[in-house]
Amino acid sequence: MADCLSLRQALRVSVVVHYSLTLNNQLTDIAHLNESIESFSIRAGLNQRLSLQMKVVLDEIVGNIIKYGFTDNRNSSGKINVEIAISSDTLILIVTDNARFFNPLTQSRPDLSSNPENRELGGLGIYIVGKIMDEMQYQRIDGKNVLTLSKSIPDESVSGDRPDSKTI
Amino acid sequence: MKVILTYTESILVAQFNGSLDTVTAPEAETQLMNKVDEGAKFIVIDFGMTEYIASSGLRVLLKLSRTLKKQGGRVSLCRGNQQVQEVLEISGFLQIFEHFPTLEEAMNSVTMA
Repeated sequence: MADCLSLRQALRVSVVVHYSLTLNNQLTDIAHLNESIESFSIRAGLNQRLSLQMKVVLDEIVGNIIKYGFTDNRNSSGKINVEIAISSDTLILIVTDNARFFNPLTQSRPDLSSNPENRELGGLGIYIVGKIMDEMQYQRIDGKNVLTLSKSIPDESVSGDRPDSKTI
Repeated sequence: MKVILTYTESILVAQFNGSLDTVTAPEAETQLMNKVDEGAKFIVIDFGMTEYIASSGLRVLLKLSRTLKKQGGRVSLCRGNQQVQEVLEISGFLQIFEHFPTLEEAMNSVTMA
């Protein structure tokens, strides 16, 4: 599957903790996503701050796909796959969808120099994502949008023992 | 997410128990704008029970603020957790909204010209 390939390509190293979830193109499915982020964070020993940052990032990305990606075929089988992985102290999020072609990285940045009260807010979500995550990469693979986001995990974000070298 | 609206004299305090995100922002917007239609002018957004805020939540704050400003009203924010404050900071919202550590400070500030 393209998802697995892209994950391996992105990591190039062994995955310590890995979680994968497929959502339908319905906003209510974001609740399932948030539950998954919580259970993943507990398993991986991540603190609440990083867990909340993941929720914000994935809300922006997945919410955008659901709201705008499937507008041409609202009733068709829109699927969004979210993978969360940790490898070598890096958090990696991969969002794959079969919506129409959309590269969020080419969205124009909101003009932060002007007073936000007067500006339009297009691109604000992806801007926030870019500030929280360290790197973003977009690929079109096999007719799917694949967005790979990574962030090095600050030392203080990990609590307790993290399982080593095994996939759970 | 649950919206709790409390009036203290002329100030409306709005609390969001949960998150202000893509799913919940439309409901928050409806409830707040209904109160504006009913005449609320000074609104304190109390994030004390809010887990996180995303850009969809920020848009609600902005719409609320723009509408109230036209009517001589105002919005103040308070008690956001680290994540809430981080998103407000990143997005430039702290340039137009005042965020206070306590509800009391936000309530004192919101009615001041």
